[in-house]
Amino acid sequence: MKKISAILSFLLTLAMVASVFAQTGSNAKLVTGASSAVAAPPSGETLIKNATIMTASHGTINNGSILIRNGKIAEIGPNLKPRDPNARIIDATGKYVTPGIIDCHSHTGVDGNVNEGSLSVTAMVRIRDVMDPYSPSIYRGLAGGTTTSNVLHGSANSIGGQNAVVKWKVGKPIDEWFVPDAPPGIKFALGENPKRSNNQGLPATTARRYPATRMGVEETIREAFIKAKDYMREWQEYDAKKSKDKNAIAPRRDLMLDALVEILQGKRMVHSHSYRDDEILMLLNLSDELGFHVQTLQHVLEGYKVAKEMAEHKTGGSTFSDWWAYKLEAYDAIPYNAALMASRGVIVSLNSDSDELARRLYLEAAKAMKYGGVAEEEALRMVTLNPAIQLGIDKHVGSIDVGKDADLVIFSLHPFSVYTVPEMTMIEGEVYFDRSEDIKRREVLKREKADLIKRERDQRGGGRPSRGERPDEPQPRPNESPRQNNPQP
Amino acid sequence: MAETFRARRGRSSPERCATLKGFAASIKRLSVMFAMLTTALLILFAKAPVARLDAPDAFAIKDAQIVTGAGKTLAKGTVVFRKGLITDVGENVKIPADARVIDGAGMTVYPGLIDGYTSLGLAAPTQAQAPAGGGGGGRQAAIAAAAASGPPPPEARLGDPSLAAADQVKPGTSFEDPRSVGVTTALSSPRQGIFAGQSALINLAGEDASKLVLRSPIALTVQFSAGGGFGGGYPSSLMGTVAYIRQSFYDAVHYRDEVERYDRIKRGVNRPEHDKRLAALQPAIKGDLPVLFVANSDGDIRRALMIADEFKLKPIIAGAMYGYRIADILKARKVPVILSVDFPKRAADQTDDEDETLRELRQRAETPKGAAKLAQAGVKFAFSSGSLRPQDFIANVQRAVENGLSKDEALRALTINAAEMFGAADQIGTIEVGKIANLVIASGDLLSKDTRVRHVFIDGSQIELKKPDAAAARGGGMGGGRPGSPSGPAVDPSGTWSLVVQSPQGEISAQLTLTKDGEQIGGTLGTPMGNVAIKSGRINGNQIRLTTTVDMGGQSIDAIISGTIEGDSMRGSIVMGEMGSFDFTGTRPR
Repeated sequence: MKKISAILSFLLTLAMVASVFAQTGSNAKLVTGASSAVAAPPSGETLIKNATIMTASHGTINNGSILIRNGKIAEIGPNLKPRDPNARIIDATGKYVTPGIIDCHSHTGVDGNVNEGSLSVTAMVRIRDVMDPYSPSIYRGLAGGTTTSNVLHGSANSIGGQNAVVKWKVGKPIDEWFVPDAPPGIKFALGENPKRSNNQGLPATTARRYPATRMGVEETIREAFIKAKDYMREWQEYDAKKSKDKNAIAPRRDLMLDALVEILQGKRMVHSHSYRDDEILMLLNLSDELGFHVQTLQHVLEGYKVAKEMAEHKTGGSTFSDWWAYKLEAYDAIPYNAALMASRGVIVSLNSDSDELARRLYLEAAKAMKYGGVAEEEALRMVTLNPAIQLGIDKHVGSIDVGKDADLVIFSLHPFSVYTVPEMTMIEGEVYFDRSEDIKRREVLKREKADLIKRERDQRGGGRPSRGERPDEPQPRPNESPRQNNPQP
Repeated sequence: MAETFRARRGRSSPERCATLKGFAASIKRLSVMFAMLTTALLILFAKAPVARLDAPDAFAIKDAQIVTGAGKTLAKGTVVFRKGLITDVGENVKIPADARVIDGAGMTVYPGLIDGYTSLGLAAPTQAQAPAGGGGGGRQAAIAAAAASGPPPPEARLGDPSLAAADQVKPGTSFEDPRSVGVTTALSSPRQGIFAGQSALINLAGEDASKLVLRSPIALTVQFSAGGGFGGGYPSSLMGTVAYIRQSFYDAVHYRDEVERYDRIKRGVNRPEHDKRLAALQPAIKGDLPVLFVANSDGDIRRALMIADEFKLKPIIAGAMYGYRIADILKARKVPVILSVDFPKRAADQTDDEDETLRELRQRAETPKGAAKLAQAGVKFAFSSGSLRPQDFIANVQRAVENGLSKDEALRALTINAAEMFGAADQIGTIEVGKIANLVIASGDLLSKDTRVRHVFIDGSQIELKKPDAAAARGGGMGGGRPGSPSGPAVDPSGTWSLVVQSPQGEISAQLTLTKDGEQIGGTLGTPMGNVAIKSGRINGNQIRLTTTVDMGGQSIDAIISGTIEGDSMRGSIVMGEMGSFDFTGTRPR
């Protein structure tokens, strides 16, 4: 009994510390931008030594070193020496290093609504236009080892907006966040979300939006692609005659159809929100009919029923570890989904779809071991290499291999332990989260806040003292709740 | 007179023409004497406010300190102006015999100040939508008519780039407060929808609209204002707004190509349909007309510049509250900035400082330093008042000065910088011979707290100054009338109110349940989107003000409800951040 309460209080303390550092820490990065922790040594060399290295591609290396040069993994081996005598040396004795965690389904850092819900086909809108680099959730994700995310449009539309694959380089100009050669993608959505987003419940003067059924969702997607094919032909005809006919003018450029044409040409990846086996088969059949590829099915909670068909279509599955029954179409979800899909040859990732869960994806991977008996490395791949493959960026990220980007996480304990804490998160060799620095900054930020409050109060000429100064009143609430940007999962 | 009136209005609206014909017919039936009387009255009314038969042609302000704004300040000099133009300025100036002389001893003369982004002189968008000529029924009738006709046209959301402020501005009482603090000139822009329209530079005095405009069009106003979440049309999100703006410019490019081809060939080619919206975008994509993006966050500014690059537009950034974060980019690209001094404020009802985030506290501490940072980076900027009251406009420019901006730079931003940005540097912005006599005579340094504005001249005419109404609420610069002052004894708003809110998509029912505890009003607001608690509430006479935060598709939007209570009925408006202002009416069933 005593032991249990000791563990409980330890856990509680952990949780409190974690929430505090995420709050104050986020502010540290918001305005200071490149803090000292972020700066790399002039040579760009960093050596992580004496670590247990979980490569996610070729097993676990005990007591190994990783040499980072100019943002890339230069060498991996037992006893490495940097060229530069001033290189940063990180002693990771007793610690674990994993690839930076990749989240294949995120809505973090989207400025404004994540849904352009006015139409059921909004292929013209782009997440990259509305990334908010100041969202506190970004730093919280980094504190959980998440380095790269597939930031998606919401699921209100049959065909939603264009995605952005970003590395969370807090403090850098936003243009540097987008993974340069990540293939562009787009969000599709099937089932309850697109059909119920049809403006029912709004005033009668509001026009109802088509579709309102699963049948309608299929037809909406088909119709959009038929239009896109006409449009593609129009441009082809123009391109063929423009050199001969000097009076030819280019067709009207249509940003929505442009994106659909890219899908037909295999230049834009489809990431489709889905739940039920019937709608999954519908989309796979529709893609065969219209001639496009479904790169991933997102959520895909009944994927275990149609894993063979997904594997045949080379369609990945990006699912939740153990969410189920939170809506009617999620009633048949089981926590063995990831393991079962993987056993049939589907590339499987585990995603967050949530600012909160994006901080703990390593534990989501651990659940795949618990429920499905997935091997340790395969489980780790579900939050590293597999999402990288699904996003077409595995050339650069997803595993600890020579030549890849030095996107790394140092964990205090095995990443699948519930007691583990990410201690350092790097992107391309630069430190974006350092737990020890973060703890030091908390006092600084606390003082800064007190100073700002005092200065304002002095300018106002007095005013009510804050609660903290009056012992009879309750302590202040946590002062920055993450923006609830998570749309209907 | 009635004939001309009818003919002019008739062209603009066929439906209206029918009514007016009837009106004209009934006029004819009236007696000649009555018609003459009417004419006489009309002439009287038209002339009365400006009939200053004693107003002289020429003025001289002598023995004053003169801040010419052209690099030189005269410790003691004279300015002479005649028929609206400055004719002489200097230390030894001969005062014409017929000039009215103002002794400027101990006072300082400045060029008239320029507010770089307002909608002064323009009717509020809701009024613009109200049925025309609807005398009698007033506001209530307008609301009822709007409700009956269903959702407003897409222009409310998308704007209309062909709308020109120059065609719409009218002199009015909204000019009085700005003038009283020395603002003589303003950029006035329509501000409804994404492509809001074309701005004009106006003087804040003149007996009719034709006398106000100094230069037009100045720029095409584009705003990243999403239509809001009431199930409205496309676009309803920020990303949709960006896509809509880009698509519109691509459409303008295509329209240009079609029209050019048609003009070249004609025979055998179908003529393109005339599209006034796309036609209005042509000067912008040609680079002849700058595009003014309303953008406060660095994110919005980046979006604006991205669009400007894509279509080779000439961008101006208005707002730019957080522009100092990317001052290097603004400098490198030589983007003119109209900097709002409507700094973020501590909410009046914020009871506990500790509840605030460090982010908000930092924003309040850092935004007043923004002007100094932009100046240091070499970014050229003017100032705008945003939604501030005019008296707070100058007070906040003073705050920018307290936070590191030099007074010279502040004054340039208020005068010549704005004039140059708007292509009016030969007309206004400094006190130089030949320029328009827009002058401010202050009791001392205009950027000091205790200085008073003594005289203002616009186009060489002396303006009768009104003391700024200290009790007036925010919004004086927005072109709308000032809200009424509290009247009558304090009423008790407790109880359950049924509200009908006029949203862009039609009527929305809401329930307001209020309780009164001393001066504090609490309760809940129930809408189709759910119930939210009233965060703060006050009652002052029969004027009620409530604040709350509503969740719109994952976005928290602060809403301010202000209303006037008469018995068991209430009317007023709900201001919801960037989504705009929505009128409501309400009743309290007993």
